Formats: sequence, C-alpha cells, structure tokens
Amino acid sequence: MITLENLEVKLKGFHLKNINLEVRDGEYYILLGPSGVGKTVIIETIAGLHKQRSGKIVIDGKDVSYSPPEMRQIAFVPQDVSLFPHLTVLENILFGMKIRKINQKVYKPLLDDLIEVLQIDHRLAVFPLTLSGGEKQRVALARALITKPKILLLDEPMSALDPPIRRQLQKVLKEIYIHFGVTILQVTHDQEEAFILGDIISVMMDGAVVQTGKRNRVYFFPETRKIALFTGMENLFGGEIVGLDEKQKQIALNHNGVAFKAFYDRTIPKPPLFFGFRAEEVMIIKDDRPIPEDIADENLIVVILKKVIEKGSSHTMEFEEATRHLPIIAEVPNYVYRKLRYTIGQEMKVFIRKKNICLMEN
Amino acid sequence: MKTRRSLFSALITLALLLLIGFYVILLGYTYWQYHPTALWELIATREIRHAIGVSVVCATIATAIALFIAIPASYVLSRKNFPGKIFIDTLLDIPVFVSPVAIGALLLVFFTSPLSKHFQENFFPIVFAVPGIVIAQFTVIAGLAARMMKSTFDQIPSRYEEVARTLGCSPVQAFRNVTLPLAKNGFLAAAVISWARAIGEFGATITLVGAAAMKTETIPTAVYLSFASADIDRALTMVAILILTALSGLFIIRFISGKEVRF
Repeated sequence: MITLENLEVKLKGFHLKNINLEVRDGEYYILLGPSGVGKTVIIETIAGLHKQRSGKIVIDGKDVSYSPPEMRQIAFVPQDVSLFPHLTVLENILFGMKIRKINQKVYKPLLDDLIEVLQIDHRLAVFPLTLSGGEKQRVALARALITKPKILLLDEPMSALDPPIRRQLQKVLKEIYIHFGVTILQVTHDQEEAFILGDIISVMMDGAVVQTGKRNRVYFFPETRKIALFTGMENLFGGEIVGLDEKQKQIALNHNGVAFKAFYDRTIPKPPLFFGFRAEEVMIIKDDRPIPEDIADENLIVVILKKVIEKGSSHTMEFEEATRHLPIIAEVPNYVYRKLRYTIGQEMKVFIRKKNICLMEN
Repeated sequence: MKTRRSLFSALITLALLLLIGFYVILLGYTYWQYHPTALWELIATREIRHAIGVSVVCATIATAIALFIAIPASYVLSRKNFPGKIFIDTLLDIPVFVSPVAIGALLLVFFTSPLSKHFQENFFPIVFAVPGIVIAQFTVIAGLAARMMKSTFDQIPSRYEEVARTLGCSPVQAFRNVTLPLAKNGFLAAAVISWARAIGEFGATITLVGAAAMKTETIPTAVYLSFASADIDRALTMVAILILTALSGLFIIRFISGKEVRF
C-alpha cells in the first residue's frame, strides 16, 4: 500500500500542498486533472525524483520519503517512455535485472510472460528508434514490470498516441493489471481514459486533490461544479432548495421556474448549490408510447429539439425546456436515435431519474 | 520556390568549396615544388624523431588528463544548478579568449613562485621540463574539452538517468550505464579535437618550457625555430610532419571508435 500524508512539494511553477492519497494493493488508481496542475510532480515525487518540503511517502508501512529512487521498489514509466536508445529492446527490458545482477533463471518465466502478453516477441532485437509509439509503450511497460515493483507509476502513457493505438494500449494496460496483479498509479488528463481504466479516481485541481472515490462515484457525483465541468457533465444548473423530505432523503429544486427532484445520500452541499446530470442519463420517451408508471415520480420534462450532432458512435441531442428554455443535452446511442426519427423543432418528453441528479457545491 | 532552393543549395556548396579550396591552395602552393625526400631525411634525424615523440606522448597524456577531469566537471555543470554556475561556465572559456602565450606567461609566473618551486624540487620539474609541456597543453585544452563534453551532456535528457534510477541504478551506475554510453560520440569528438589542439599547441608551451633540442622541443616549436633561423625548407618540412602526425592521430582515434565521429 502507498500512502501520501500531507505531502508538500515546491518546484519551479508548482506548489502542491496537503496531498493525501492512499493506493491499496492491487488497485488501479487514477490521478485525474487538467494539464499543468501538478499530477506529474506528484508521481515523480513518489518515484523519488523530487524532494518534498514536508509530509510523508509510505510504501508498505515503510517511510521512504528520503530514500533514493533505487531503494523505493517502484517502477516509473514517464510520458515520453525514455527507452534507452543505445540498447536493444531486450536489453532495455532486462536493464533493471542486469543492474541488480539477478540470475536469468529467476526472471526468465516472467520475461516470457511479459513478452507474450505485451506482444513484443518480434521486436526484441531492434533498437527503440525503429519502434512505433505503441510498441515503445509496451517495451517501457515490460521494462518496468520485470522488476516486480510494489507499484507501477504511469505518467500520461497514452497522450502521444493516435486514438486506435490508444484504445489498444488501454486494453493492454487492463490486461497486465489483471494478469500480473500489479498496483498501478496512473496520471492522466483524459477523463474518458480515467473512467475506462481506474478503480479509484482522485481528481486534482489547483494544486490539490479535490475529490477521491470509486470510478462511478466520481463520474456520476462530482462534488463541485468545477469537477463536474472537468469530468464532462453537460447538464449543470444553479439550484434553489424549495422542499426537503428528510425521511425519503429527497430534495425539491428550482432553476428559473423549472422544478427538479433529486435524492441526497449524505449532507446537502453548501450554498450556492448546483445540480447536474450526465447527458447519457437523459431518457427520451417516444411519442407513441404511454408514460411508464415507474417514471411518473421522476423528473419528466417537456422539451423542444433544437439541434442534433452526429458523433459517429452516438448522437448528441440539444433540447430546450418548452416554457423556460432551459437547455438540456442528451447523449443517445445511434440505434436509439435512428428509431426516434425526430425533426428539429419538434416537441417531446424526456425524463431524468432522481437518483441520477447530482448535488454539488460551486 | 524551386529556383530559390537551388540558389540556396548552390550558395552553401560554394561556401564549402571556398573553404576546402582555400586550404588546398595554401598547401598546394606551399608544397608544389617541395621534394618529399627532404621529409624522410628530416624524420631520420634523432632530434626530429624526439620532437615528434614528445609531441605525441605529451598531447596524449594532456588529452587523457583533460578528459578525465572534464567529464565529471562538465557533467556537474550540465546537470546541477548552483549559485555562481554562470560564472564558472564562463571561466571554461578562458583558453578561448586568452591567447596561448598569455596562458604560458601565467603558467610561468605561477610555476616560478616559491610554493611551486618547492613542489618541483620535491616531486618533478615543470618549468623548462617535459612535464611542463603536458601542463601547458592541458591548460589550453581542458576548458575546450569540458565545453564540448558539457554540450554533449546537455543534449542527453536527464530523464534517462531518472528512469535508470527507478530501475535500480545508483547515480554512479546511471552515469556509467546510460549517460556515458550515450555520450560516446561527444566524448570521441572531444578527444579528437583536444588531442589535435594539444599537438599543435605552441604559445603556452614555448613560454613555459622553452625549446631545448632533444629535451622540450615539440613539432610546433621546431617549426618556429626553423623559421627564426630562416631555414624555410626545414620549417616547411616540420609543418608537413605536424600535419601528417595530427592527421594520423585523428585517423587512429576514428579507427578505434569504429565509426565516423561527428562534431
């Protein structure tokens, strides 16, 4: 287990304070945040490449805050992977083994396994210069994993890759995570990648960790409007509390005369209150279908279709609430959109379940 | 656009031809009536063989010492930040902007001081002695070697060393296994340039050690002495020997390196 306790790091252009993280054994932990927020500084500090001003880094109960990188039993794959250009792929992979003078018999089974899982058997004799971006990442992963690290630190591993290669590598990362049971701490600015890969996500903003939680919790229930905007929650509104049912843990909200109902599971966030819901949670009711009984108590809204954006794998439908012109965005899978056959300007009904509305601070 | 490109191409090629042509004309004009037998006759003399030997041995020792010190020194300058770094970096250029004779004068004053006299009495002589040649050559080339090695280290991202550290290397192991192999070409270039500069060194050497035949005479000092005594043929022969010795040394270094050294 890796624990960061009140870590403070000051570097040129960065001052990170009160960073607290806890990565449990076997977790895929994502540190998500916009570019330039200091995510890389954190994992480089865990790797021992920067000195912290205060706070602790504890790995498996041992305080390694002042240990040199080689004593921390971590592996680090930087953004540019930094394969050693003067060594072949195989020599790169075995670099850590040669330095530690580990016998070939010890690492051979793991080496064979890594080469097979990462599909690099045909590239072992070449120099890194001839590798593609995806191959470089695979080799860097093999080089890191063969040392059997307590934690694998990945710094934006996919940022320089084309989308198809990125998707491939996401699968590879998931596979090595499951196959080798390795603990991973990955830094990324890509919220989609974070939600595909991570078990636990910490969101970092303005030099601090602002929310940590399981993937779905962070995705559907951001704690602040800023996090919601960053994680891509399209429907966000300021809200006024107009009713509270403490028994049912239900809250009635008003935004410019449009009423919403939502559940709250913990405490109600401090005012000014905001609420929101993801575009995928906006359900469209077909004209020719009766309104199902189970949604009668949900947020049923009459809207007018304003715009449709084709995105290849889905359609974004932009609506306006019929009387107050509140903008509402829905993300609809292609097959659903094709069945709907709506035209721009048409009136229709959408609903959002109370459990899918998230309350948040500014 | 195509015309502009071909004009540019023609201009840069012309510059190269002018440069090479200048050296070829200089050598060709000087040596067009020169009879090579004079070269072999002069090489056959003990005095000249001694001067060649002193030049080659001293230049090789001075280069080895200069690189031995320049590599770690330039590595520090490349990788670490500390107060006064810019000042120290500028000091490396002293041999570039101070003439070799002035460096020789500084060395002569320094090595005739009471403290260094004491050193020379108890260990080995420097002024007007062969070790002085090594010191004069070292003084002129050390800054140059450090400057070249620093620019080599600057071009190698420190990220490689950081990754090597996370893979289990100590700082020394990271330097030896990653940085040094990556600096190989820069190292060879620094060795070639330093050695060539050392073997041709004249001003600092003659000021510190003089030009005693069969003792401290090097090839460049022999050239000077020949001109000073108006023996033009001997001087030209010595220049030819200097060129041939330097070229042979450079080819040997390149041959050992196994590939072309780019600098």
